[in-house]
Amino acid sequence: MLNKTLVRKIEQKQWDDLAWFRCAWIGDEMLYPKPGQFFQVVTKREDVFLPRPISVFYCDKNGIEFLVRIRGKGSAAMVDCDELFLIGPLGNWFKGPESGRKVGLLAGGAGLAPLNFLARMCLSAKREFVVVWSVRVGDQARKVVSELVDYQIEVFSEDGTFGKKGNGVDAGEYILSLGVDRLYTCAPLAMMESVYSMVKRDRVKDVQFSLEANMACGWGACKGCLTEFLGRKLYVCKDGPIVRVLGDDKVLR
Amino acid sequence: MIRFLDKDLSSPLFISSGIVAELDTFKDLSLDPYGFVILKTVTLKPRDGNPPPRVWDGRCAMFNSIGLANEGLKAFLETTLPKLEEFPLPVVVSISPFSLSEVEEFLPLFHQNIWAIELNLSCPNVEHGHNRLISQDIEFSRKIVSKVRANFRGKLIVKVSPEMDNLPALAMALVDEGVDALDVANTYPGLVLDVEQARPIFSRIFAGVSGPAILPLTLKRIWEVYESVDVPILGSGGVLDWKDAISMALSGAAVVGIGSALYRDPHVGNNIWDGIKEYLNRKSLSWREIIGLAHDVVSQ
Ligand SMILES: Cc1cc2nc3c(=O)[nH]c(=O)nc-3n(C[C@H](O)[C@H](O)[C@H](O)COP(=O)(O)OP(=O)(O)OC[C@H]3O[C@@H](n4cnc5c(N)ncnc54)[C@H](O)[C@@H]3O)c2cc1C
Ligand SMILES: Cc1cc2nc3c(=O)[nH]c(=O)nc-3n(C[C@H](O)[C@H](O)[C@H](O)COP(=O)(O)O)c2cc1C
Ligand code: FES
Repeated sequence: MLNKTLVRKIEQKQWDDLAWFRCAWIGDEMLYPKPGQFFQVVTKREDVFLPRPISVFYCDKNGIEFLVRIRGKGSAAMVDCDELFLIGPLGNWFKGPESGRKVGLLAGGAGLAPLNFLARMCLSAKREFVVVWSVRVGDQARKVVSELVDYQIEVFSEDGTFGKKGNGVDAGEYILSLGVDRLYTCAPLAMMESVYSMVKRDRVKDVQFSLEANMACGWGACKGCLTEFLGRKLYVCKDGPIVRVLGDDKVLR
Repeated sequence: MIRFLDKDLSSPLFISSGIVAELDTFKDLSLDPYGFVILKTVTLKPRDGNPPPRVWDGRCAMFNSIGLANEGLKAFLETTLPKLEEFPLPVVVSISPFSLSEVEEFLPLFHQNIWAIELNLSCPNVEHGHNRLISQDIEFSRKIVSKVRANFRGKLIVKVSPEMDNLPALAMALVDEGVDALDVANTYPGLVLDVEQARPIFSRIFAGVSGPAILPLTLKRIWEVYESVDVPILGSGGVLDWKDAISMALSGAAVVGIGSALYRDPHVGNNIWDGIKEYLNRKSLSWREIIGLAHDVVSQ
């Protein structure tokens, strides 16, 4: 049965169009999402009818955190409202990483959210990993990193105001140059498609992509989230959001 | 208990067609507040549906352009139909034959022991083309319905498009052909544009609008149909809370469909059903007594 849980914001930070917030559990209702899973987020604002899918940035017994890029009215409403309804957790999740692998996490923009959760899990499981984050505006990323990130992170900014100057492709080439054999990535579609050609070229054995689509339900009811990725059609909320590409180029569901 | 089409139902609420497209997905919901469910429309041939995007948020509404993605009649008969016996609620099977000759190919379904079939006439009229829906052509709708009626002994519901020049005329024609109930109505064709790209968002240009914004439009149509025919009405379109459901009943709906509201709140049915019970209790009325009640007040 689907969960719908009310949570209350206890802390929020905003840097231009990027916001982070932490919500507290109410009563003893607590959820256990896995890295890569998402929630359909609903606010009390009635002019935003459909929920919006948002990945978990971090979650533990003290609460749940999200990192949201304000794009339209749905994301703006989440940032404005103090109470949020969460439907979920929904979708599949990142598999692994197993120990002894060279693990890379490659994020683009707000795609940092699910990878941050995975990174924090890797930290507590004492797995080794590298994180590379590609952003447009370096100054914004600098603030996010200094206030939210407690692991080593390499930033590529398009405007060169923080970290290395470069775009998503440069970030992808960089992380692969480190010789990773497990790659987790969440970024705009165009960046993930370039990453796909790179991992194919470099024969990276295991790559897990986190996909996006417009959604109505988020739980496999409406057939609304059809997307085409690497020539395969899939329903992002049910077959994804994570698709795993193993050595033989097969999209696993 | 609510008596509807010769069945005792535990509630006057139902889940509208296509909202939960696959039978197995209903298990994600609490079905307690519903009296029955209507399955996703089945077409003769399997359909992949439309390319993305397929859904879009509106203001107090949503758009969908799913394109009747479904497994097709053959797979439905082989895999879905056998599972219905174990389903916890009565089930209505929704179908969309696109032409008279297609109706004949649905015979294997008509011969099954099914409580009710809903004929979805808000689908493109392929025989007469011109981007029109079958229900917009009253004579053609009559022919399709009469052919189904002649071959199916269970309860026959027809779901109409709200975009009609003369909905009462269609309703009367369909009742003449022997339909047992009318579902009023489907989504409203609407348009949403990508202002940056200066083109429609959806590949098929128009998309179906549903959700709270359409409630007053649906209520008007239920009202009109209730005034023109005597068969029970299934109300579908725009219900978000118990007041909406009560409004539908007062306008003439015998049962009330829950649709897109489930996407905003998967537990919405429980709240609506609780609200209805509280209202009936407070007014000392039964559900049956409030069906069409507002008409009596107006005509007094
Ligand atoms: C599984 C999953 C996880 C996700 N996780 C996150 C996450 O953790 N953080 C995050 O920030 N995002 C995440 N997203 C993306 C997020 O869901 C979307 O950014 C969000 O739904 C956008 O909704 P909105 O109402 O803010 O924008 P919308 O109003 O839907 O607009 C989206 C974009 O379209 C444009 N647009 C809207 N209407 C029009 C129009 N008529 N003409 C032209 N352009 C228009 C807007 O300007 C905007 O750029 C995730 C998505 C998925 C599928
Ligand atoms: C995603 C989606 C899929 C739908 N699919 C069907 C369908 O297959 N057959 C049908 O008769 N109606 C279909 N409908 C229409 C609904 O059954 C309902 O009539 C309509 O959404 C209006 O009700 P609502 O405002 O409560 O959602 C669909 C609606 C949506 C939102
Ligand atoms: S969003 Fe409804 S099926 Fe995926």
